Amino acid sequence: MSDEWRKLDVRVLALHAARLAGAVAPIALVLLLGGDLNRTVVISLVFICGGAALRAATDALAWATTRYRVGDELVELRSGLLRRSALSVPRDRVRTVNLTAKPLQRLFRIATVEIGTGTHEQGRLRLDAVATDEAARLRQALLARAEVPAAPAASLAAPASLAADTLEVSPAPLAGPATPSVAPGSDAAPPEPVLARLRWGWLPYHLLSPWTLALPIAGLGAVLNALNQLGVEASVGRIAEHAAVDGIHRADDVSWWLAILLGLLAVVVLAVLGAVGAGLQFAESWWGYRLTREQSGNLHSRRGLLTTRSVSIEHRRLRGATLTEPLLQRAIGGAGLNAIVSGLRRRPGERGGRADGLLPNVPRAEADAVLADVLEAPSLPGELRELRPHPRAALRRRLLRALIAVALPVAALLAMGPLLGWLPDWLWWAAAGVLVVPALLLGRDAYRALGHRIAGQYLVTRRGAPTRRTAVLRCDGVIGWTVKRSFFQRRAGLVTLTATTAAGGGGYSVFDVAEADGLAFAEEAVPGLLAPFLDGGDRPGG
Amino acid sequence: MESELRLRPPRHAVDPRAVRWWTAQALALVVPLVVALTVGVALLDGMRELLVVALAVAVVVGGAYVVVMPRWRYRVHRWETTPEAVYASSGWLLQEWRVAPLSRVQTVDTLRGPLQQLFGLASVTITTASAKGEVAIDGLDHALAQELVQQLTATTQAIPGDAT
Repeated sequence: MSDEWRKLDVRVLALHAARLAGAVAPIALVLLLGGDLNRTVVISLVFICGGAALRAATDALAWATTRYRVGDELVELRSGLLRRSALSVPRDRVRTVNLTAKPLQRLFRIATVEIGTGTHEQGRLRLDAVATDEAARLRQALLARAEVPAAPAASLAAPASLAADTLEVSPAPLAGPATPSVAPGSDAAPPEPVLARLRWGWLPYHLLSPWTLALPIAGLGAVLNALNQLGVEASVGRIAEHAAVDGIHRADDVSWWLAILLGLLAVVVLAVLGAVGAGLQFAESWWGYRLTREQSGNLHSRRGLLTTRSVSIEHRRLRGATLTEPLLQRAIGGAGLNAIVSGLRRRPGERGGRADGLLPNVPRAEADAVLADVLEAPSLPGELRELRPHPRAALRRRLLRALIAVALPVAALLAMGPLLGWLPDWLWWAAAGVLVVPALLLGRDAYRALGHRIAGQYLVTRRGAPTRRTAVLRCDGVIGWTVKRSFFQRRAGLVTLTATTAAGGGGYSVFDVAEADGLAFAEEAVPGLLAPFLDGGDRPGG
Repeated sequence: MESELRLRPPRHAVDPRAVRWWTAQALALVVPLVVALTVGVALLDGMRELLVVALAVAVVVGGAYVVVMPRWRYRVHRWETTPEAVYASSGWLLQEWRVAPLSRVQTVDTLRGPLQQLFGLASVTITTASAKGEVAIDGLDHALAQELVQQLTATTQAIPGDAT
């Protein structure tokens, strides 16, 4: 790595110019197609063009004033004209190096490099435009050097919000930062073991999700709204509205089975549209997915069609994994897998799946296999099937909650009966009767989800309905305990025990466990931490 | 024979002035509500019956809250430190016991809101690398809080690493 100050890649300027053009193009198109030039349109036009121009100008200025240097000891970044800032990170503190290439960036063969130092956002050093081959070299050099630390290369996938980005790019060949790289210093590196790679057989599991139906409905709403804003409403919205009104007027003439047929057809069309949309989204997120273990023991995942992401998870920062089983996935035996990594948190606006995602929804057996490989614990999948159940009191609490969830709205509606006079009271009772069974079933499902155990050096806790989550957390990653007990839990002799950790969500809970069992579990997981504060085994006369 | 395993209460109670502080907090919540409802009863003709009921509920429930909550909290809120860990309990209806090993502590802060200053109190917050692992001790005597911070800072600085 050279020891001189470098500029960001000059191609970023061309990228900004393209983005500016892209921002203006759709509006021009709509105006050409006969949109109304009303005040709303003009104002948004000014905002969009002005915003894009301003952004291009600041980006150009940033490019002109930014220098970075990767020395033997420090990674340094200087930027700014009026407000100069200098940021330096000791190389042995580098925990994460992430490469992201959004579609436009890939067109210009540049990538964003983010160098993080762990959990603190302020220690994040961001290089906006680095040539892709240079970026891959940088990642290798920085992580190879950081033998002791190194860590989760955090999220790639920045919010590539501009639709224009995706419009102008043809799916370029999968070069970019995702190029497999060879460890420096070794001429003939042995092939890295591949823990997982994309199988198109996963696609059906991805499609079986409520989003597949929700997506086209939301999309339709967004399109209609946008057209409305631009004054095209007259042409499209009105037609749809007239058709709907017309349809209602003619409803008497149309036979009922034709209406049902049309309804079914609409559902089928929505489902097909949704499947296509969800399929495209799956391809964008998981195209070319490969999860490998590098020689250093770090996990490295590469994926993405238009936006490519390359995430490194440092071996020592991997604290465990979470199996996620939504209700529908459980019905077909599927599960998703995420890593629990310190310093790798989900950030708002992240696109294309989570940075800590190890697998989308896949057959449970495959998820189990990858879980065992990633955590290097071959016996884990079997152990996950034998969790300790929680006391019956936990079941009672869940059934009671289900009843309350149904009873409260019904009671409220009954109380408002006089105001809703035209609807008979028996309707609410009927609704309650219909809803109460699924609610109770869900409550029982939530109880069945509860379970915990120690498995080797991992602690396991499972919970949740309709989405069941199994957290597998390394015991040595636990940095504290929280025991919570509500008034009602106290009466039932239950507590909720939370293992706090620097990784992932910050805490993983064992819900509604018997107090003595929970405390014994905590003491078994991290011997000695809780012990000084326990009463029991050593009670006088006990 | 082993009897039921349970958490014992931490060794030290918080400062008795904390009861007054919590009472003041409760009053700051309840009094404006009662005043607003009273004004409503006086001025609004149309909804008077409804407002009178709401006022009665607010007075009874709010009054009970002002009287019960601070005393209940005082019985629950306790803390202690050992050379290895800090241990604190808090809450009233929902109670919490938190343990953090000193080897994983990142920062130790004191906080004094205007009300706490009025009663000569301070809160000590001990954070670890976990987003959910923070241990807070409310209602300590101000001088004691300073002393505790110094002691904890000295201890934690002697231990390297924070296990991130």
